[in-house]
Parts: sequence; C-alpha cells; structure tokens
Amino acid sequence: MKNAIEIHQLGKLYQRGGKPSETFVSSLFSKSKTNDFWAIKDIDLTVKQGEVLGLLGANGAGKSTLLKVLSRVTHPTKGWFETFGKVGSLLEVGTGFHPDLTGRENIFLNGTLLGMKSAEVAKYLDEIIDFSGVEAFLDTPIKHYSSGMKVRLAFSVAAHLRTEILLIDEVLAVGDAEFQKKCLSRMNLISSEEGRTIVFVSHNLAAVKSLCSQVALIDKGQLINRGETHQMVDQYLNNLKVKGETISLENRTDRGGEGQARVTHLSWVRKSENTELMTGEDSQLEVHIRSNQHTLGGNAELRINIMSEAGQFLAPLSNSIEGTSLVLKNEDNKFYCDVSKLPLMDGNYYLDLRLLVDGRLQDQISSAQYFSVLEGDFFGTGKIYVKGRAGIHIPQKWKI
Amino acid sequence: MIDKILNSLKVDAKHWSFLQSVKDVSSHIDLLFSFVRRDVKVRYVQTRLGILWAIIQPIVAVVIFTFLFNVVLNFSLDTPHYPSFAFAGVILWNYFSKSFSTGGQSLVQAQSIIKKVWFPKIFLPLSKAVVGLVDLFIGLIVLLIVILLFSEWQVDYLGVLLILLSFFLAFLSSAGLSFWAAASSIRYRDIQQLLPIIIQLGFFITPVVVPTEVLMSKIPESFQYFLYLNPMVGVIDLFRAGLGMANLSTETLGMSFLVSVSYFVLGWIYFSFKERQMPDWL
Repeated sequence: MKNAIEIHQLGKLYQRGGKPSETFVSSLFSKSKTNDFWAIKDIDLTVKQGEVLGLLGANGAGKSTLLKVLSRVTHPTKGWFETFGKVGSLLEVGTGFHPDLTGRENIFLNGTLLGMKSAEVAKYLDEIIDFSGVEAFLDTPIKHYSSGMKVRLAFSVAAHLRTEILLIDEVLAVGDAEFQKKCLSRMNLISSEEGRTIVFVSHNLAAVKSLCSQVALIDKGQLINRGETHQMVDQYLNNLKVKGETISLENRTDRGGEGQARVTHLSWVRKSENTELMTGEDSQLEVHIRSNQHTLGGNAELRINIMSEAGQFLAPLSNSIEGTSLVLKNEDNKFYCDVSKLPLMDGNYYLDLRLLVDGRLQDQISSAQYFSVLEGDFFGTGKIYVKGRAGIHIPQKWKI
Repeated sequence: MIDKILNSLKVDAKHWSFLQSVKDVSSHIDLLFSFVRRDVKVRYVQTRLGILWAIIQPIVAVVIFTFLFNVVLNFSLDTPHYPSFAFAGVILWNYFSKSFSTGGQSLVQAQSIIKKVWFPKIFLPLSKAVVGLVDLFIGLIVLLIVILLFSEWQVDYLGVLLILLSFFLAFLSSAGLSFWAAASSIRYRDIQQLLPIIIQLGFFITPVVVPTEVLMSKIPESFQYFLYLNPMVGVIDLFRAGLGMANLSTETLGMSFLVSVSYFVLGWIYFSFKERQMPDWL
C-alpha cells in the first residue's frame, strides 16, 4: 500500500498568555516573550492509503492541533508533511453559514468553503437536502432556523465531502440522539469506502473502536505509540489509570487555566486504608484548593465531571449548580462534597476537573482522579444488576 | 485497483511558494464566486430601495461638487457638462475606495472562519473587488444615459474598450492594495484606522472631480511623475478618454497599466507570504 500522509518531525509552537503585541508601536518596544510551548512536537507518522487512523489523547494533548496543521488551517513551525490525494477536513460544522442566506444558498457557500466544486455540490444537492431533513425550509433564510436545523444542514453538507483523505474531528457527532446515530452510521459508511484514508480524532472510545483500524496515541504533543486499535485503547486506558492513581495532583503538569489557584488534592474519603467505594454507600469527595494573593477571597466554582473509563461523560459535581458558594478564605482551603447513596455502578471511572474563581478559569485537569467502584446494594434489595459496566443508578419506584 | 495519479501537496515549515498560492486559487475558484454571490445578495438585504442605493450616493456627491464649484467657489472648470464629467470620476473613485477599504477589513471580519477551516484567504479581499463591479456597472449605465441625453459626447467601440480596460485596471489596483492592507492589518490593527485617512488623502491627489490638467497644474513639475504611482490617476484618465471627455496619451495608458498590474502582483505575493501566519495572528 502506498502512503497517503507522510509526517516528518512536525512541530507547532504557540505563545501562551495571550497574543503577541498587536500594534505596530508596541511591537517596536516589546521584548520577545519566552512563554512558548509546543502544542505538537517532533511527530513522525505515516498513514497508508485506505487506513482509518484514530488519534487518542487527553484534552490538550495536541490531537486537534495535529489535525489543524494537516488540514492547513495553521502552518507548522517545524518539520514538514506531504499528502497524496485531495484532502478534506471536517473540523467544525457550519463554518461560514450566513444568516441572511437561504438554506440552499448556504449549502453552496459551505460546500465550496470545504473545498468542493459548485458542480459537485449541485450533484449531491438532493442527497444533502434529503439527509438534512430540512427540505421544507430550503428557501428560508437560515436566521429563522432552529439551532438543531442549522447543525443538521451543516453536517449533511460535510458528510458529502468526497476527498481521498478526510480529517475528522469528533465534534461532528452533533444534534439529537437520532441524528447522532445517523451521523455515526454515515461515518461508518464513508470509512468503509474503498481507498479512502481517514484520520479521526475522538474521545469516544466506542466510536474509535468501531471506526478505526489503527490508533496513534498522543500525549503532551508527542506521539507515544501507534498500532492496532485494541492494544492502543488498552494502553490509553492504562495510562489514564496510572496518571489518576500515582501522580499526585500537586505534581501534575498537564493542566490548563491561569494558575492563580490550583487544586492540590482530590479524592474520595476512605474510611480505612483498604476500603473501596461501593455503590449505594454514602460517600464524600475531598478537594483542596491552594490560592495565591490574586485569588484570595475569591468565589470558587468547581466543576467536576464523572467520566466512565471509556471517556463518556456521566454526571457533574458542582457547587454552583448545587447552590453553595465556596470562598477561598485561606491560602490552603479544604472543601467536601457529600454524595449520599453513591449511584455509580460497578466499574472504573475518572474525574475531569475545572476550577473557576470569580468566573475565570484557573485550573483544568483531565483524569485528575481515577477510581473503581464495587457493586453494592443501591436499592436495598440485595440484588445486583450487572457487573463491570460503568453507569449510573437512578432512584426509581415501580407500580402496578 | 488502478493507481490514480494523486495530486500531492507538501507543506514545509520553512518553505514558502507563491506558485502554491496560484495553484490553490485556481483549484478553489468556485469559492470566490460563492463569496461574491453571498456579498451581492446580502448587501441590500432588508433595504427598501435595494440596488438604487448604488446610484444615489454618487448622484448626491455630484450635486454637492457642482454646487461647490459653480456657486460657492464660482470657479469655472473649462469642461462641457460638468455633472456627467464629475459623475464619471466619482463612480470610479467610489469603486476603488470601497474595494480598497472593505477588502482591507475583510480578513479581520472573517476571522472566525479563518481559524476553523483552510481556504485561499486571498478570496476574501478579492471578492470585495469583484462585488464592487456590480455597482460600478450600474453607475456606468446611468452615466451613459445621461451623456447621450444631455451632452454632445459620443462613445464609440474603441471607447467601450477603453472603459472596460479602465475598469479592469481599477480592479487590479484596488485588489492589489487591499491584499496589502488586509494582510498587514491582521498583525497591526492600526492599519484599519489608517485606511480611511489614506483614502481621504488619495481623493485630493486624484482627478475625481477636476480634470487631470487642473490637478497637474497645482503640483510642482518634478512631482508630477510620482502622481502616477497613484493608480487611479491613469485609470480615471483612461475612463474619461473612453467616454470622449479627455484625450488619451500612450504615456498615461502604459503607466497606469504598469502600475496597476504590479500593485496586483506584488500585493498577491506579499499576501501569500503572510498567509501562513494569519490564523495565529488573529
């Protein structure tokens, strides 16, 4: 098989902490900042023709940057890549939609923006319209569309892009559940067409497993491994686990936010050394926040997402939706969150964490904490539903 | 499976090629027309007078200048039927200044698209220069009607050719200048403040409402040559020559051709050189 994409020592450097000087005068006086970071670094990778390659990695690992460079949205700082065949990229849907134009006009505008020729759009027009399900409103300006209709129209255009190489970001799975299913099966269809090369970025492990033949693992901007899908997914999960279990939060460097306040500790309170979390038991989450002089006295908003091991969002824990304000009174603060009757089923989970102080994002860590839950008696009936499957129990009452 | 010849593309961090920009433009040309259609459609959306606005503005300008010269300044410009003479200058100048300024702002305005999808970004300023042609041709039709009804000027085939050539050169030079303005205003937003000033100054060194000879007579002889670096001097001369309002010199023709084409080509080269960094500067 021939190569479709060859990537050699590819790197992209970004400047952290805002844009460089924007006015001519200030550019004369400002000194160069050393706050640079490599979003991707020294990536060597080849993708063969007809291969469907998934890119896996935590938030901010550089997957999307790699895709942006390959699709030419941004230019690399180092290295080179070569593509063989026409490249199409679906990183965002509905780019360039104009509210005053009708649905039909926007199909042509968006299609040509994605790189199609007008004649190609015209050829697929009926299919696109059919797929979107908005034919009744085709000659209505899209400012009168609901957001769901816009998204459906946008995906339909994108789904009809026929290029030899396709770069796809996960944002594509959009809209209501039914339409999402349609999108995924459409992507299955596209990827199974002969000779088409696809690079696919996703957090959704189920989608990666079903679509991709090969997976490349990316961490901190670098390629760490590449191989057959099942092995790579296992390695990815293992890395998540290791990170969440062994590296203390204080020492984690793969974090975002402004850094004026940091979460230094996040864990479930254990009754004794060896007790595990159990479904249905009253549990408590402990969070430590260290603030500096800028955030002292500020109002903290914690957004902790409970994620399944497969990367599916399950439930949020947040003081702001619950209605409690947490003030950072001291340099080191301890907060607790009581979860009565833990509804998590037997399985493995991790927590994604975001900390906002007075509305500004100060800290952000993916898989901040990895933990297991053992099946317990949630309903007090002594019955256990299913083992080894991450999910949530909902309190329920059956009647005749 | 039969091996197709696949078009390959190499992107190198350190390498830049103008040829690639030319290739990209030709392979995506349909997008240019999509942008043009969008702008034409959106321009007069939800206005009552619609396309009439394209001629209202130059007519008002001509009325003002006629009043200014004849009544206020009592200054006779030795030209038969001054209103149509001024109208010719005004519609061409309006085209130029509008393409230049809207083209210059086009990248900053489209920043959300630029950050999300790749496309030949030169289409943004270029489409503004194409869209302006619609108003220009409407203005031309009104002008021709006025000339035929109220003046002794005649327009022949050569005249039509000269008119079209002048439009083409106005297109090249305004597009070329807007390439420069658009590409540099991404990095230095000051350019956006500077553009209206440049255009306002340009009005005074362009024979928009006065004959070229009058303008030239006010300028020291050694500077007159530089005046032709202003592409619109030659272009308006050419336009008026086509309408029979002025005499054509081969010097003017050659000079304005040379200036317009080089503005366009140099602007494009500069733009494509800057294009790689554009998403990062926005």
